[in-house]
Amino acid sequence: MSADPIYYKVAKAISEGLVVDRSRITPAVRLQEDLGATSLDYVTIALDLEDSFGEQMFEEEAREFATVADIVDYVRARLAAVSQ
Amino acid sequence: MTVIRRVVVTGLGVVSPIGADTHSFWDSCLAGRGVAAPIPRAWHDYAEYKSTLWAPLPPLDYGPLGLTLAERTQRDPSALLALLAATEAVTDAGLTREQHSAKDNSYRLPAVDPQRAGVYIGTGVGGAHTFAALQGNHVLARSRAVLEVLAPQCEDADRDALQTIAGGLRFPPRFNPFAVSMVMPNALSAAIGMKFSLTGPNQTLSGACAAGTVALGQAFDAVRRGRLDLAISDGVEYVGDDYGGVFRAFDAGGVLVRECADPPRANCPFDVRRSGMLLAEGGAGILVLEELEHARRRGAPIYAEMTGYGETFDAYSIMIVEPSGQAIGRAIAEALDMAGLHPGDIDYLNSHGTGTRLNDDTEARIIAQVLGPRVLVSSTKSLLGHTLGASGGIEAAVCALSLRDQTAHPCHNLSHPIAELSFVRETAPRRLRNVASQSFAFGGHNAVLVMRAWDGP
Repeated sequence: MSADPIYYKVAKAISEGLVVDRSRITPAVRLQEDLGATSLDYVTIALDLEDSFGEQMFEEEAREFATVADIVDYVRARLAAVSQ
Repeated sequence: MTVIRRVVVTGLGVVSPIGADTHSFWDSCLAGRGVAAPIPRAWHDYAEYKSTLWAPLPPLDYGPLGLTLAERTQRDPSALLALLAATEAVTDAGLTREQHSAKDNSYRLPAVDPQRAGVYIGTGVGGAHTFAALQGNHVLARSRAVLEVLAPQCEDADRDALQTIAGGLRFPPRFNPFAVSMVMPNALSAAIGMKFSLTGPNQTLSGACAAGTVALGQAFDAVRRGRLDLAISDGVEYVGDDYGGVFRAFDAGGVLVRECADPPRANCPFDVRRSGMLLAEGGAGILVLEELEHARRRGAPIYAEMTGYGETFDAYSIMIVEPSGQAIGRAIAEALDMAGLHPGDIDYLNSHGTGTRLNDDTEARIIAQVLGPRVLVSSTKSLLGHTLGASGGIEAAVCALSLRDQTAHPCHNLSHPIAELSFVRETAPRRLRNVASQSFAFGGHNAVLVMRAWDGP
């Protein structure tokens, strides 16, 4: 999965946004329970992803993200939607 | 009864257009290396300007410089400059840091009682960069969306025209949810207080171009009178907003350098051909002030002793310095009195020296009247332009460095001085015992500080 550019950028944003080592970022890891993410952290991650992908990212949707994979799925769907 | 204590400068941090740290900045000062460059090309899309030069900052890659993604996305560039300079100053002061929170990128200073350590920062415009950027998003986002829907429905020429207009509406993609905490001026002192877990008084002072000197005066007073043992203080500014709006404000006021055909020579305070000030993109000058015994106990390096401070107000014009300079003279006299000095005791004056015609005339006259023609004079703004609220901090750092190294930097681009003063024309060894720095501001604020060479007790 690390070869997936979307996963790579999401993992990097989460790692840098939460200041946790990249080795702790896996698709199944839980953002709040395992990594200590707060609502402010979601904004920081979204801003970084907007820089990376050039598209506006999540706001209210962030409440539904439980795991890293949830953000990856959101970004993939978002990019597919704006490319149509 | 208040016991008056001695206050010393133990750490410096500088970010400026002529050097991204204190060492490179001071090297540029002593070598007489100034900077002036054309304003960003994109700014010409929005207006015609009388001035087309400014002093840009060197490239700053904040991530490798130690600021986290959260800091970079939640702070205005002015706060990032403050954090860089404050971190350098704390390190320079020999204050060991212990990590407080890796996520928040914050530290504790074990050698300091956090309740007796404060932060006093001066700024002119605070988070104006963020305000301008987000106002762009607020005002333009819907218009551009409409144009992007309409353009494909039009014929060739109209479509191209609409696409050109839409492309010219530039703004950040998101209205940053951290807008309030980025725009508010007090974010500057708050960022430093959080970075080093300091819980004493934490203030951001607004005093335009005198803000840094005013902030240092407040910090000095707090340490001198015993409220604090240590203060991180001085000035920070960033005015390189995406649209050139802050630059245009000064340009419209007619105070920026007009002779722009020869950029390296355009910025020439105290010269007969001066035409205005060179606006700098930004900068930060941060000092660690410390009570003498506190500094001695931990074996801190000492640059200089801060001995005097004076502050007055013109009550004359919101834009123009009061021509007699009477209030400036009073500020100098107050600072000298506090330091227990006579006017002839000042060996070097770091002038306000902006390069505007009236300001330099008034300042040169008051220097001659109050301090006499013997005092060495230079303008740091002749090298790096005017960093507004940061200038007092950067110039206070110059005073401390001048005392440490017993030298003074030259007044750049000075060929034909407007007055018979002892302007510094070259870097050379000097005997400096007492030095002063003065700052004046739109509004009418005047502030003067005095430092003494540190030679032991």
